[in-house]
Amino acid sequence: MKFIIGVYDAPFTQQGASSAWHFAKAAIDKGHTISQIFFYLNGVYNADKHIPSNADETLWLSEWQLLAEQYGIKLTLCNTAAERRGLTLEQVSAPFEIAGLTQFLHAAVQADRCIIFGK
Amino acid sequence: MQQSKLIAVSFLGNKMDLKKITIVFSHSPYASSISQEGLHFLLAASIISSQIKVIFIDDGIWLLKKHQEPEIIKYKNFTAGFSALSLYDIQDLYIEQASLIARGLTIDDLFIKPTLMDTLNISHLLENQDLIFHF
Repeated sequence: MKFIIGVYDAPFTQQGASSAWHFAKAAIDKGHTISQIFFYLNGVYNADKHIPSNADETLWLSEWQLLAEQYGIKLTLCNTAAERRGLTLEQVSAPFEIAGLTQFLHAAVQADRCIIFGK
Repeated sequence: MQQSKLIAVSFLGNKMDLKKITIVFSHSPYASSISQEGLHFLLAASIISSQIKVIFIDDGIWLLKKHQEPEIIKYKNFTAGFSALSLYDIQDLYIEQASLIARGLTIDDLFIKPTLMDTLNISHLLENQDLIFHF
């Protein structure tokens, strides 16, 4: 099955982002495809390279980067939501790509399932 | 005439008409940004699908309350955008009757008049959608 995932939660303040990561991993392990992970609302903070790493805690930015690299998953970020939150292009880490809502919706209608985490 | 008709058809073709999208609003307008961003999302969705339904439940019905004055608390009244949905060809608006009653409101307290629907019919409606986005 072809999934598209929406992440609406920031990495530190809520669990939605980590739940999305675990879901993505589990889906891939079961042989499904993730066509794209779209970061929207507070989810855009997942791409913020200014979030510091703490030795004894998971840095979700690195986890997303690894997941994208390992399985060739496209990570996209809503430009409007990022702008609203003062997240600048310079702050956005690779391999996150800036996208619009209509791009996400086009991908969502083409996937078999669209799953949203957080709000 | 014929030419403009053709243009309209191809435009609708791009809209991926077969996909049914429902946007659900269940939060009050100013306590968080979720409803304002949801309205923005709804307008973006209207670009790609002409089969959009909008449901207002729980505190989401406050979005449609007449006589809002958010300027007093230094907020912009974004909810006026809901009265312009017909301009985006979004016509199918529903409101859960129980949510309205629970808040002591009637349809006359709202600045637009969505179709009243009971909880069971709302769940039936949701079952038949391809994509549901909740704000």
